[in-house]
Amino acid sequence: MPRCVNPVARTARACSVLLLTLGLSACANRFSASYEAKAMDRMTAINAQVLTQFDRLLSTPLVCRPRLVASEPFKATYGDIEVLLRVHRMAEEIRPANAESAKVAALYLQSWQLHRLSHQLWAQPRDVAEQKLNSLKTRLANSDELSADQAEPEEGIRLAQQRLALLKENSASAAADAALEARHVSYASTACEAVSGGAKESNPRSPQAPEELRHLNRGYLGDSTLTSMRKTYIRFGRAALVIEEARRVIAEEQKTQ
Amino acid sequence: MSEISDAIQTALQSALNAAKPTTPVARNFVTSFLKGRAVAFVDIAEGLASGDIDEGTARYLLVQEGLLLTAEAEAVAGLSKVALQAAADAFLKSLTDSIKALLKIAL
Repeated sequence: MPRCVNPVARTARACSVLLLTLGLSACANRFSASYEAKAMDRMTAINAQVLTQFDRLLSTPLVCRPRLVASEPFKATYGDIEVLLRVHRMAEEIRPANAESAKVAALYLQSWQLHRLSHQLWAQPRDVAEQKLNSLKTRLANSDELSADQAEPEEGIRLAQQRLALLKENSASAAADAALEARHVSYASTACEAVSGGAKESNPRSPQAPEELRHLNRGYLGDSTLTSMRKTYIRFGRAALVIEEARRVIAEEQKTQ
Repeated sequence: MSEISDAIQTALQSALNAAKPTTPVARNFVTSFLKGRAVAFVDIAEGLASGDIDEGTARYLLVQEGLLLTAEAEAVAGLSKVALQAAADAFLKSLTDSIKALLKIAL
């Protein structure tokens, strides 16, 4: 290939290469948002509140957990954490090139809503509680989908029918098991009075333990479930922080270069 | 145009170096993610077998595990994009710097 020696041609060639490079920079896709310290702080604060709530529950005697969960100041902590998670999700959603963090935030919120409801359903027979949790899960999972008012008429009717069936199913089950629920609530309340008054806690794993106590221990407020859920939220917290941490590492690295 | 080839080689090397710092973060996360999954399933199965949790509660815990698995998979995808972004930024910066330097010589 003949070498271009004309200075004008060389300059033109150089300029076109420069323009190409600058064009590349300008048009480069943004794959991932840049580091934001506020996102880390938000998530760290949420993780701290979630773990504090679990520590309070686990350090409370089993029979007194229902009372704690129903008490106003403690009940408010579920809502406070949910608000923080919603705010976090919104903030993550509006950051460009941040789809994965936004999805993690949405899943954390969804999990928390299930957790919150499960604690309200501790006294119900597990199949009824499970049905309610599943309904909520379906509603939450569909919440990003087409809503009835945006859908085609046929689709709208189908969605409306599904929702009506869901409501009917829930109300029938709740009424049928009200007596059993009342018995569990009454047992927990009496047993908690006794434990608070200095009585020794019964072993919930003993075959002689009352059925209500065994139900409580094997359910959403039992040690095993709470410990397992605490581990789940530690991992949720880590998943929510890790992308931002990688961005921080890159930003630090770029600063030192 | 060997200067340009050299510039591209340098840019590629810069891209590889830029993505490297995310590796320990990603490696630790993925390791704990895989371990966490195994432990969680064993915990639920053991709890069920020993009678510490009932079937309904075990199913609830599995639902929660499902949400967590999706979140962790998203985080892994996010980590790859952070590394990709760092590589792309470093590649373009290096290429632009090299070409600017070459142009100074050329002009």
